[in-house]
Amino acid sequence: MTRGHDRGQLLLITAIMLAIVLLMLAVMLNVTILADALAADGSTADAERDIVGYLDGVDRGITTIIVANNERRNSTIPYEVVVAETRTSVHSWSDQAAASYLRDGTYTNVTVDEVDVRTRIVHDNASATFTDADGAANWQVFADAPGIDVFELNISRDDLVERNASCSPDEGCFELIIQDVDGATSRVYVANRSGEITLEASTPAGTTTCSTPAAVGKIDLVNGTLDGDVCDRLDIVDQHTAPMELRYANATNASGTYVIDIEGQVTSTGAFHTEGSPRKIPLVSAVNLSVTYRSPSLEYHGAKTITVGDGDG
Amino acid sequence: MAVLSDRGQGFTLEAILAAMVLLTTITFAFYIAGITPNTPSTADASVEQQHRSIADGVLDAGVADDSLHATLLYWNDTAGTFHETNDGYYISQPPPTAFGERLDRGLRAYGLQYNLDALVVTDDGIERHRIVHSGTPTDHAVRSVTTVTLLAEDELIFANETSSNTTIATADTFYATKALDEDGHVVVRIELVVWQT
Repeated sequence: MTRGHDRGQLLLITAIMLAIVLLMLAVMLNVTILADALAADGSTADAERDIVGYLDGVDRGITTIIVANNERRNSTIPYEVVVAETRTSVHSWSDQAAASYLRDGTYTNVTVDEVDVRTRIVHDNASATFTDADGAANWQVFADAPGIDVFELNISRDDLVERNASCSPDEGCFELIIQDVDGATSRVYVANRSGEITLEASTPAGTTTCSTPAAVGKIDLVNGTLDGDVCDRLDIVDQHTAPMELRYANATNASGTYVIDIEGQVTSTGAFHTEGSPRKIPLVSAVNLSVTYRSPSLEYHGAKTITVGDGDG
Repeated sequence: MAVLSDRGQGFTLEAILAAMVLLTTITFAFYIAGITPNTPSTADASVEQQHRSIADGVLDAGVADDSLHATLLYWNDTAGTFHETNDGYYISQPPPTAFGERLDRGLRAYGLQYNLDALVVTDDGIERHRIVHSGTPTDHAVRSVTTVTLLAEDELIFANETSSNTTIATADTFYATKALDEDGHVVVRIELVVWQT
């Protein structure tokens, strides 16, 4: 009889224990599934990809509008106007991008902290002499130049003084004078000697004379070439320490075109045309930005610098 | 004898009770475990991540080689639609452009369907313009987003992929013209939604 009583009770106890074991197994299984799901959840990776994509969009978008603004700008305007224009353009880009990202519940914003400007001095009227806008033959083209990236002149033989000997001061030859903060001076005389465009340069590295029979001589004072051929010591720009000053003398005796790309802002006592030759065009070289990206799962604040190369506008 | 009969009934009752306890526990255990056909698994999330990577790659490549930019300008200003479309956008097929080839190679090769849209911000709000529409995405669709900045002087592109003389600013029907801001640029948001067929 006792054995019969025990069997029934054993059955019940066994069933209860099995139930408890099953419950524990169920809880463990749930925990495993939940952990697995959390581990496989790519929401964080997606959010990070989204912000990388946005920052890439900022890079491309701001670069595009700065390059476009540089290419559109072809007249003499104050540096402050260029800075203001840049801030306005970036602000507008930021607003448009923000409106589209807001659809995803994401707040974005780009503001300009600083604008770096460079200067392009252009004379592209080939028939005009190298005087300033007021017709001054002896004038300061620029001062306080932090550096010169491009200095190319295409000088026509037509207006050059004809000389059979070397040029000297006050003989009317077109003269280009570069002086730097250390007092070092380079002088380049350009004249028509026996039907050839002749350069006589006196530089910190020494003197040199080069000539070309071409009707228009292409002079590169950064790479030191005349019509593509190297002319020793003509790489004048690299021989000077910034800041530099450039002056022209006897500019009525030279015509053609030139372009000078200068790092940063410069001053000048010479006059520039707004639209004609010569003109002084400010271009944006870089902008420092503050970027904000705030999504439901990720927040980012950072700085970004967009640099526009020399060939970009 | 009477005692044995009583014990038999007792045993039966206890067994039935035990069975009920077991059944209730098993039922409760399955209920809280919550495993259903719709329960997401590692495999589902992994596949979605893979699709997202593919979509991102296609857009990134299209941005890098400007083929996406060109496709946005592949517009018939006379007809007011993208070139070679009947409904204004491409239905279940890529645009006949370099970017369209990229979409085909990058997505269809994996058996993926996609919708490609361009969104611009106008004074009236955000406007969505379909470029490619392949249907309604499934619940497991993923979306990749990028932005392209168009300029007022950008020229629309003919069907033979050469530049026309019609700029965005002077176009009559181009979808992004009225979104140009005072500085002459427009930010176009590109959404590529991808799903498995």
